[in-house]
Amino acid sequence: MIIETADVRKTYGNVEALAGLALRVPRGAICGLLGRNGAGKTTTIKVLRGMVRPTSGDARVFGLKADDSQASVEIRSRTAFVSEDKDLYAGMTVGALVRFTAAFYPKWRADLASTYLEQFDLRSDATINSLSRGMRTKLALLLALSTGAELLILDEPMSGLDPAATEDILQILIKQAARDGTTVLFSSHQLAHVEQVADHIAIVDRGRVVIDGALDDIRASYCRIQLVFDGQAPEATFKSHGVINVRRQGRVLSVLSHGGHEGVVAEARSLAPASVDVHPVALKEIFLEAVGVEN
Amino acid sequence: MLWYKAWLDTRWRFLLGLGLLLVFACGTVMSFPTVQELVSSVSPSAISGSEDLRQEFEESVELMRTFRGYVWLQWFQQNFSSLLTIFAALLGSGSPLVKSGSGALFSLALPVSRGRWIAARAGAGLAELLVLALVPNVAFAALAPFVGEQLSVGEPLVYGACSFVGASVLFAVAVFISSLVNDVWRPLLLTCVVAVAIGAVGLALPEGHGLFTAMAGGKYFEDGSLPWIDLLVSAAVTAGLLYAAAANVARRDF
Repeated sequence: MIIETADVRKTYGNVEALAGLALRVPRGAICGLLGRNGAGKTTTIKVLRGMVRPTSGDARVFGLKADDSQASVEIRSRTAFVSEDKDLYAGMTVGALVRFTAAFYPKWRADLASTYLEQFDLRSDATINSLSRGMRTKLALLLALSTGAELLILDEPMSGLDPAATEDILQILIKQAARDGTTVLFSSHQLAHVEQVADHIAIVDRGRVVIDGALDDIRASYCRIQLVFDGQAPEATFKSHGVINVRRQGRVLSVLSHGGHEGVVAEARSLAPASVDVHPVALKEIFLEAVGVEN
Repeated sequence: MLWYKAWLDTRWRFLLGLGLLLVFACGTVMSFPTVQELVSSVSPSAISGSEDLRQEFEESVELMRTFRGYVWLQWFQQNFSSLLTIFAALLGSGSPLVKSGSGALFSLALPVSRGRWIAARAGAGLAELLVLALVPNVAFAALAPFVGEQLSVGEPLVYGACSFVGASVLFAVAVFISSLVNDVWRPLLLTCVVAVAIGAVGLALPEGHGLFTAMAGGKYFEDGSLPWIDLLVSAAVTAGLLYAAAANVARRDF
């Protein structure tokens, strides 16, 4: 595992930002970190980057303790990071910032930096404070992608980008992960982006990871079983293992199931519906269920 | 690269300080003939007040009759100490890691320890302060012939060095306060308040001691010796405050 945390807690006064976070990201994965505002995504990233020290628990990156000052420098030398607000040195020019950043990374990829400067239409002589939010986002990503890091940690990387630029960046992330085996951990509110690029997800709610694993496995483990009756759908209580919720609307009874749906389908057939259909579940539905929001 | 970043962060404050101090130093030299005329026209008997006040006035007038005495009294004991204090506070204010919206998160993401960031910033700031403490004082030796006087380069530099050691304490106070708050202005204002408090405490100390007394280098002016104890205490306080600032930043959450 590249990232492994166990029972990480972080409190700010009376507020518990992380409440026993257990996160595992395997090497080479593109992992989407999902959660509502204030769920603990940014605090998780800050703990991994050594910016915040956990109140208790163990957080490791590359097997190194993230809260140890010396280990944290080693972690950062092998990791690139893009912060949510794309906080860069406002007074520097693009070219100066690229040269400045390159000096800290022995595996700096000058070829990638040149390619992305051209691809993102970034002028070397432009000052950072003259760039739009979208261009600053592109520059922050350029710097992160050119470090030659083994791990990219991106906090809301697509914020401020138009759809075309977002698509470009997503493709670049996929390409880089595939070509160099770079592990990517990125937080996002855009579930469509996560579904497009991530092969792993971790859903954080109230400071804990409520779902994590390979995206395909998670999707395969959830399904919606839809029963259509000739008349009004009956009120039913399912006893099968894995039933998460049951919704009744007119002639339709809809059951969300997790972890094997055969038993639920068999139980559903005993209600004598006109039809029984099993549908895959979108990530959005899994997410909303995980964070306890009624769809 | 950390030095370069520290220079970028502080260059305008430094250049402003250097420009102003040079202008004021030149102005002080060029005002000497006018002050001379004024001094020769003033009669000590015209001063009303206590005997102490009259004596102090007479001593000041006496000092200002010579270029050396005028430069020390007017510049090193008064204007330079105050100006250098302000620029020391300005150079020390605003940590490279806690000033939000200025790339602090980007700095924290680089593979550099927080201690190295603070060390680079403190080192660059002290180097700039040293230049501010020494370079403008060269003007006294360089411009003295224009007012028909002579002054060695060495003597103003000794006063400048004393001022640097004293001002370093206030620089370190600003760095320390900056490690606790997230802006530039609170450290600047609080350091100025601390400077006033140090000045007030100095009045209660035995004559010839105190931070601003050491900064003025009065002992060197009088008998050519340096206020070693005050300078060493100042250097130790500076080192302690910078260490405490680094420790604060090391344990902070960002």
